[in-house]
Formats: sequence, structure tokens, C-alpha cells
Amino acid sequence: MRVRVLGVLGILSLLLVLGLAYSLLSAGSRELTQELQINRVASLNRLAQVATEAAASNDWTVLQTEMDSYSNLYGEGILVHTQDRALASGALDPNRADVKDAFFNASLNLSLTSVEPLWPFGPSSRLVSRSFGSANQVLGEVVLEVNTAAAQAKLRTLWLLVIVAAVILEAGLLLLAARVTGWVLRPIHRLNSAVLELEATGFMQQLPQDGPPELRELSRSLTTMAAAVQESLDQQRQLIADTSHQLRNPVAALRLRADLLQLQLSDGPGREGIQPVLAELDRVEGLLDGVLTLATAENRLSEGQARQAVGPSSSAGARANPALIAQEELERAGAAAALNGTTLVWGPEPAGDVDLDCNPLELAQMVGELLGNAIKYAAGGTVEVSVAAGPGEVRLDVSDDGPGLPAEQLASAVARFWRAPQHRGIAGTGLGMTIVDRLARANGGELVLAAVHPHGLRARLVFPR
Amino acid sequence: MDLLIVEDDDAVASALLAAVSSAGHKAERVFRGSDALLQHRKAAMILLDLGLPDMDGLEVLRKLRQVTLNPVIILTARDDERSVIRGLRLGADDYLIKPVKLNELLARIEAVARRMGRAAAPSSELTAGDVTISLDHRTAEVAGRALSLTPTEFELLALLVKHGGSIATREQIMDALWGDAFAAASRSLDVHLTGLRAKLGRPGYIVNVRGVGYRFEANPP
Repeated sequence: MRVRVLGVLGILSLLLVLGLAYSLLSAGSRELTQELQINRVASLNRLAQVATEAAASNDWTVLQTEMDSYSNLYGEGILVHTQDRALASGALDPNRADVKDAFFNASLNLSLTSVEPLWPFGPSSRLVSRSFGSANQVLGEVVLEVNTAAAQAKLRTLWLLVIVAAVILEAGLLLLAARVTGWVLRPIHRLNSAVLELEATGFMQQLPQDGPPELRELSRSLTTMAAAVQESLDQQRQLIADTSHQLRNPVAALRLRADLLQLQLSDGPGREGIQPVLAELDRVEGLLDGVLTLATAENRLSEGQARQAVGPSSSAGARANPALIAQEELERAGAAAALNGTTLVWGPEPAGDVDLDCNPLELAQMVGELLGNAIKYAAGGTVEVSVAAGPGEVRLDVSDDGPGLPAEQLASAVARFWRAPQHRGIAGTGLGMTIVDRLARANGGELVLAAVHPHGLRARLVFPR
Repeated sequence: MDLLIVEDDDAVASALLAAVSSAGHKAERVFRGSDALLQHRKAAMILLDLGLPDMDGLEVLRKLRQVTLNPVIILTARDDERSVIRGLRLGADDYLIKPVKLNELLARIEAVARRMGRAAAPSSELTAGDVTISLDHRTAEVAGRALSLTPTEFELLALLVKHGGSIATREQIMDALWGDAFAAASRSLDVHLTGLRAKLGRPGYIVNVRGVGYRFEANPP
């Protein structure tokens, strides 16, 4: 768009400057020509007058003197022909074709008293001619050479001045056009990148107010809209966080009451009846924890994206050692694994430095969640955790040899509240993988799920380094 | 034991009162943080909620810690790591997140109380579940099986058991073992922990509390 607008403005300004230069130059040339013409025609007329008198008195000396002094003074040749004599002064060759033409025309009483418009370059000799004599008889012809060199030199100076002025004017106009185009387009570009950013991150920085009034208005509306979108997203997230937070108190009271009830009903039929209540309470607590963790993770994700939008340099670099964290989480998961007979294996020790940019607590949370999942769904099998550094990335794998997930379910596994139909029997909230996915993305990484041959699931956290 | 329950939610407060009464404790409940600061002297232990109507619970804790060493257990809905770490750093003896099971609540109260009692009258014998430690002979047993521990592992185990089920922060452990809470020996603590865990034989005795420290679980699942 910039090139197009600038192109149109450039062409218009060029036409303007050319027109201006043309009119200036032609006016200058016309003026110079006219001055020359008036001057020389007066001289021609005077010579014709003298020649007429000479012919009347048949005394040609006055004419010759007059012609000589003229030629000496101005350096222009004069030729006078009568029927029986030819007078000449200066260096005008009587055999030149145009001189002969001029004599011929003058003998037919056709005067040549206008000078062709001057050009800065080209022949510097022109002719004016007329006949002389009485009213009823042509006595002879006068041809006067017009030397235009001086006028042409003046014209050349004028051309030079006009061309220099035109170039300067054109450059100024182009500069102005560029400034105007920039002024109009800068807000548009900024709006565009702001919208792209909003789309990618759900976060938009304040737009500066400049440019034409319409664009200023547009950028104000866009800022307002983005703020509204952001606010409604934030409100939604806050609502989820607040709701689950507020639910904690009643659930806590419920939990204590139910536990007390169970204690008091230590024997008798009521004890059987309260078990399902406690089981449901466990589920509610699990969901509550999951939703709150997810709300926090999604908050972190949008924070992370906002930070990335501002620039990678500003990301406060928390470093984490994935090998250390994975081993710590393996230890922590040890008790749960021992309970359902799952074997935990720490893979080959990673070679070299595998440190990565990630919040260590969140990395621990992710690994813990993945391990918990593997122990739950691959109960009795083997779960292996390994860390490896690849070109430009660090991979942390948690793989199990459980039933795994069919290929079409792998993609939906990170969706909120999604649970594999075949795992309905196992307690769970369907939030674990979602939380891991959001946290990984908040830290610039990603969660990749894949099948393991012959059966099992491999959850891989990939972080750039 | 006399407990002071600082809790603004009536349902939770009455459930808590019933719960601690069931274990034979006497309890009094206050609604606001400023009341807690006025009445803490009567209580041997304080159960503190963080979301209070007049001031933040962490602020109450900070002020309490300026005047009393009585144990404080935070019982709150706030479960972000930052609050947990700040609460424990400000001097809380334990941090429980709502909802909490009755048994766990009572066990934590007992654990903290036990630790306080030990601090008052040091004993040469420590027991927690199957684990018995003789501080005089520097020996430890698990269910009658003697453990051959290195001196550092012994100190570590004794420290964790002394904390009686409440959390010992990494800084506290490093301070006790090496006399420097911020030593670069953080990695070597991990080495000793791994060794100790292996010798205890059953995973789950030493619970890693993410980002804070470690807790000794007397009766692992």
C-alpha cells in the first residue's frame, strides 16, 4: 500500500514540476527571442531606409559606412543586393543556401522579419531580410545575419536554473509525500499488528493515538474492544477461580462433618451408608483442585503469551534442571506406585547440561501429574521417565506399557474434562492432561502424546533451549 | 489442649469446633484477625484461616510471631505455592489446605503439639510409627530392624522425626546439618535424602513437599 500511494503521489508531483518547468522555460525563450527580433528588425528597417536613400541618390558610400560600422559593432554580417550591385559587410557568406533563399524571397517582396524561437543549443546564426524601394518598385534586398549566441547563453543559464530548481522541488515534494504516507499508514500498520497480536495471545498493548482523526478514532475503538475482550476473558477466569475458591469452605465443612459422622457411626448399618457420601466428597474435592489448578495454569498461559508478545528478552529466566526434578517426582510417586504394584524406572542418565527455561515448581507439577496418570492407567506395569537433549530442545518423556490410547483419542486427551470412554471406571477428573498442556505452553514448551509399541502411552514434554 | 480457631466462615468454624472437640480438645473461635491477636494468650495452639474480613491471615501470623512462639497451623483455601511457602517462612508450623480430612487434621494437630512438647522437655528416645530413634546411642530402628546410617543421615532422620509430622523446610534442614541455611550443598542434601530413603526401605516415610521442604510421615500408606 505504501508503494502504491507513494507511486501515485510521485507521478502527480512529477507532472506538476514538469509543467511548471515547461511553462517557465518557454516563457523565457519567448521573451529572449522577442527581444532579439524587435532589436534586429529595427536595425533591418533602418538599413533598408538608408539603402533606399542611397538608391535614390545613387551614393552608396553612406550605406557602406553604415553597414561596416554595424558589422564591426555587433559582429553580424549584412548583405545588400540591388539590381546592379552587391554590398557586403561582416562575415556572411552570400553563397549559403538560406542566404540565397532569403534574397529570393525578398526579391518577391516577402520579408523575413520573425526569428524562430530560440533553443539553448543548436545553430547560432539566423537571418532576417526584407526588400527596399519605393512604394511601386522594389529596388533591392537587405539580408541581416542575427547572431543568437549571447541569447542562447542566457537561455542556457535559465535552463540550468530551472532544472536545478525543478529537481529540488521534486525531491521536496517526494519527501513530503513520503511523510504524509507514513503519517497515514503508520497507525494502520500498528492497528494491524495489534490485531494480529490480540488474535494470537488474547492480549493487546495500549495503542498510541496519532495519525489522521479517523484512524485515531479507529484505534481508540479497537483499544476499547480489546480491553473489553480481555476483561471478559479475565472475568471468566476469575469467576472460575473465585467460585472454586469459595466452594472450598463449604466442602471443607462438609468433609469434616461427614468424617465426624463416620466416626460416630463407628458400628452399625449407618457406617455402610456413609461410604458413598465420602467417595463422592473425594470426587468433589478432586474436581475442585483440578479446576483451580487449571484456572491458575490458564492464567499463567496468558501471562506467558503476553510476555512472549512483548519480546523474548523480557522473559524472567527461571532455570530448571529436568533430571533433578524428574528424580524428585519419581521419589514422591514411589509410594503410590508401590501401592498398585507399578514399577518406576529412571531412564538413562542424560548426557551433558539439560537445564531449560521453565518455572521449576511448574515443571515438577507437570511431571508429577504425568507420573500420577501413568501409575493410574498403567497400574501394575512399568513407567519409565527419561530426559534427553536434542538439537535446540530438551525432551522429558514419561512412558508406560499400559493399554495406552488409540490414535484418534490422543488428540482429544488434552481437552478439558475429556476422559477416555474405556477408563470411565477409574476415578479421575479429566483435567490432568489439560493442566500439563497449559503449563507446558505457558513455559514455552509443549506436550506431545504418542503411542508406544506394542502398547502404552508416551507423554513427552518438549522445551526449546 | 486449648485451641484458638480463627475462621470467618461459620459453617467451617462450627465443623472445626466439633472436629477438635471429638478428639478431646477445647476450642474457642474468633471471627477477625484483630480478635486473634487479642485472645491468642489463652490458647496453646492456633488454627488460622488466611482469608479474614479485617486483615490478611499472613499479616496476623507475622504479628503473632512477634509476641508468641505458640504453634500456629494455617488452614486455608489458598493453595498456591507462593502462599504455602510464605506461610511456612513466616513461622507457621504447618499448612493445611481446605478441604482437609478429619483424621489428617487431628494427626497434624497432634504432630505439632508433640513437637512442641519435645522442644520443652528433650527426650533421648524418639518414636514415630515404626521408627524408633535413640539420640544417646545414635541408633535408629524400623520395626525392630536396626538401620546402619551415616552420621549425616542420622541427623537428617532425627531432625525430620523431631518435627513430628510437620514440615521441615530445606533451609531448616541445611541449617541444622551444615550450619548454613543457604549453603550450596543443596545437591548433597538430595544425595543424603536418597540414601536415607533407601535404608528406610519403604517409600513414603519422607514426603517431599514441593517447593518447601520435607515432612516425616509416621504411617505411610
